[in-house]
Formats: sequence, C-alpha cells, structure tokens
Amino acid sequence: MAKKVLVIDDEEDVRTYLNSLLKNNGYETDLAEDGEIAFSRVTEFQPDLIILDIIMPNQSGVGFYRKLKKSDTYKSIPVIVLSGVTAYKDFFARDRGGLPKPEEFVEKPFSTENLLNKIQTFIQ
Amino acid sequence: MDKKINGWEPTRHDYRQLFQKVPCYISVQSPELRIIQTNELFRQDFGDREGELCYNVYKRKRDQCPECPVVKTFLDGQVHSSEEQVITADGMEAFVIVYTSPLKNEKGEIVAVMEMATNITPVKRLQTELTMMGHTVATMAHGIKNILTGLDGGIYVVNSGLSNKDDDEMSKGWDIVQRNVGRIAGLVKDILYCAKKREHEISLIDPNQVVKEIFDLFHEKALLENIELTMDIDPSLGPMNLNADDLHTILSNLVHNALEACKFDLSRREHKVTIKTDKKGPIAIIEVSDNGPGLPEEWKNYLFTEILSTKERYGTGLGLLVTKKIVDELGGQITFSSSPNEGSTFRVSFPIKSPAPASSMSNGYH
Repeated sequence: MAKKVLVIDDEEDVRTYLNSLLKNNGYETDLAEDGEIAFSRVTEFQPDLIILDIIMPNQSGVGFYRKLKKSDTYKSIPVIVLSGVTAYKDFFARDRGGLPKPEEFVEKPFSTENLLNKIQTFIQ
Repeated sequence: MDKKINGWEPTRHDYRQLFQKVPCYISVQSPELRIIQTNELFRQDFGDREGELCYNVYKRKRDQCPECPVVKTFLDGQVHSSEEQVITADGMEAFVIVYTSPLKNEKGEIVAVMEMATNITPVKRLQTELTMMGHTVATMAHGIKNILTGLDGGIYVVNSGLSNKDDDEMSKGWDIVQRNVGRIAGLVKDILYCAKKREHEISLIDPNQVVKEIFDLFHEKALLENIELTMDIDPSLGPMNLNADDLHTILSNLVHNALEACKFDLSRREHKVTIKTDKKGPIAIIEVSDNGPGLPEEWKNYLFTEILSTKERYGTGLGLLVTKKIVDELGGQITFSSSPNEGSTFRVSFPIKSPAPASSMSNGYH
C-alpha cells in the first residue's frame, strides 16, 4: 500500500508541485493550505509523513508543529520543515519549548532528489 | 592661565553666549531633577520648560528614568554618559547622546548638574538605512528563492504532464511558470523602489482627500472579496505639508495588506478593514486596521525589517519595507499592534508642520 504524505503549504504552486512529485514517486498525497486546516487533515488522512511550510496565514507552521507534537496520537509522525526562511532553522534549533526537533529541515528552492531521499529515510 | 587669546578676552557676556549658542541641548538640573536653566537650542526644540521635571520634559514620563546619568553625577561627581531617546515639543522622537557634568559651589559641593545632549538622529537614521539595506538584500534573496521554487515546480509539473501525457497537468505547470515570471517583474519593481533614494517633493496636501481616493480605489475590490472597507475621517485634520504620491503608496500598501490578511482568514465570516484619520496635537495619524487573523507571534520582531508575506505568490514580501522606507524618508513613524484572531492595526504618524501659503495647495500628484 502506498505511503501517505500530507503537504502543508500556503502556496498553491508549491502544493501542485509537491503533489505531482510525490504521486510520480508512488506516494499517496493530501494537501492543506494552512496549519489550521492541516490538523483536521492529519486526523482524517492519517499521514505517514508531513511536509510543512512555516509562514502561512491563520495558524502558522510553528503553531501547527506545536499542536502536532503535543498530541499523543500524532506526535510520532515525522515532519520535514520546508521553508524559504533560513532563520527558522535556528528557531527550531533553539526555541521549541520542550518539543522535539523536526526530523528534517529542507530549504526552498529544494532539489527533488534530496527531498525524495529524505522522505525515504523516514518512510520505506 | 592667560585668558586673552588672539586679542579676545572672554567676558561674562561671552561665556553666556557660549552657553546659549552651543549646538547641543543644554539643561542645568537641580537635585530634584527640575530644569533650572536651558540654552537656545533646547528651548527651540523642547520649549520654555524651566521649573519642570527633566524626565517629564525630555521623555514625557511620569517617573524618573532608570540609570539616570544626572542622578549618577549628583551621587559621585563624575561625568556620565548615555544614549537616550527623547520626544521634542512637536512630538517627534530624537536620539541623543547625553553627557552630564557636576556644577559645584565655592565649597566644592555639587549644587546642580549640567546635561548636554547631542542630537544624533541623522546618524541613527543612516545606521537604520544601512541595516535596512542589509535586510533588503536578505529579503530579495528570499523573494528570489520563492520564485525559483515556483519556477522549479512549474517546470517539473510541465515535464510530468508531458511524460504522463496529461494535458491538464501540463496546463497547470505552465500556469505556474507564467505566474512566477510575473512575480519576477513585481520583485524587480520593488527592488528598484528600495534601492533608489527618492527626493520627496513636499507640498500642501489634504490627507483626508488621499484617504478618500484610496477608499475609492479599493472599495469595489474589497466588496468582491466580501470585505467591508470603511473610512473614519477626522475633519479637523486639515491640509498639511506632505507628498500626496507617497501617502498614496503608503496607504495602498497597508490597505492591500489588510485586505489580503482578511481574504485568507477562514476563521471569520464578516471581515472589515477601516482607514481612520486623526489629529492629536501637532501629529497627524492615519490608521489601517483589519479584523483578520492577526500577525503570527513569531513575526512581530521581524516586521518592517525582513521578508514576510503570508501570500508569497501575490507579494514579494518587500511591501512593508517599501512602506517603512517612505514613511522614514518623510520624517514620519510607522507602528503596529496585532492580536491573534482579532486583527492588526498599522498606524502612520507625521508631524503637522506650519503650512505653506494657501496658494501652494496641491490636489494632484507629482
């Protein structure tokens, strides 16, 4: 059965891009445009991995991450933070209020090969 | 020491002149921190405030400042210095470097302290401009990275459509490519605006009139998005010296941002954006507020200095930088307040300087 990846990004272009990329590589996908919608997608879609943007309207990626990692049911889902803001790498490295570090940080623009390799290390 | 230098023997009157004419703010203060004496420049920028408490005059504060250099000099008789932010009589903030020095009586007792403050606001402004330039470069890099991601994505989706023989996918990919090429044009325009030092031609304009024009410009657009755009005009805010084009750019950026914030806020059904004008003493205030989602907490420290756009596909993230740059260049200030789920307010203020003759009143743009 195909592994499931949830893509959370406010940019439709990026969602369309990742949707094509992941589907072409055998993954089942679901898409969300902000952190608030994303949490309901997590409960319904039950993803094996999440690709998360940081700067988004409504609930930002940071807010979503906090909520996810505080949830006993979903905290084990690996998260790849995909962001154009390099400063957030430091943010996640320092100020997480006792929360674990995201599994990976990938900077936009990204190499498809690199991203797919990273996804593969978490979900076989 | 021979007081006679090149034939000039300073008299008591000359020393008084030196005190009055020295190009920094001088105030002499009592142990209770009351201003006993001031020089000309002080009176010009702060008014005739002798007898008042220094923290009241310099900072409009009710309580004594922590780490006050005057107090330190009263205590140890030494010269102290500090960098302070003060508010002049016309309500503008100024940065000063303060030196304090003891004034002693014949017995050697400190009876007063002289505070000399040099206005370093232009230096600070230069410093800010340099910092802004650094941030602008970082912002540009961020904007370019986003566009590159979009272009990478578009090309990938086009290729994927070709391999899968999927016309719909190909068309989606091509749309992404086109959109991102358009974003390059927007980015270049913003970069040029940030890079160029502009001369702002100042003339007598009616800020309320500019607000009405902005309202007319965005009213229809807001309605289409189901957002109520309203105006709250203070009629007592009369003509003032400013640049109508610049005020137009500032307000259209702020209103555009407010509408965007509401447009993508799915948590509330009824959205409202208000443009409000106000006159508070010598200050003209224009506020743009929305009841959108508010700014994410982690953004607040970066606002006006870096990147940041909720919707990178529509903006380059340079809008607020451009807005702040124009406000700064016009000698105004921009501040904001924001609460999660309640919305944000951006407030622009300008000093109302004495108006030019009515004949130079300008209604149009340059």
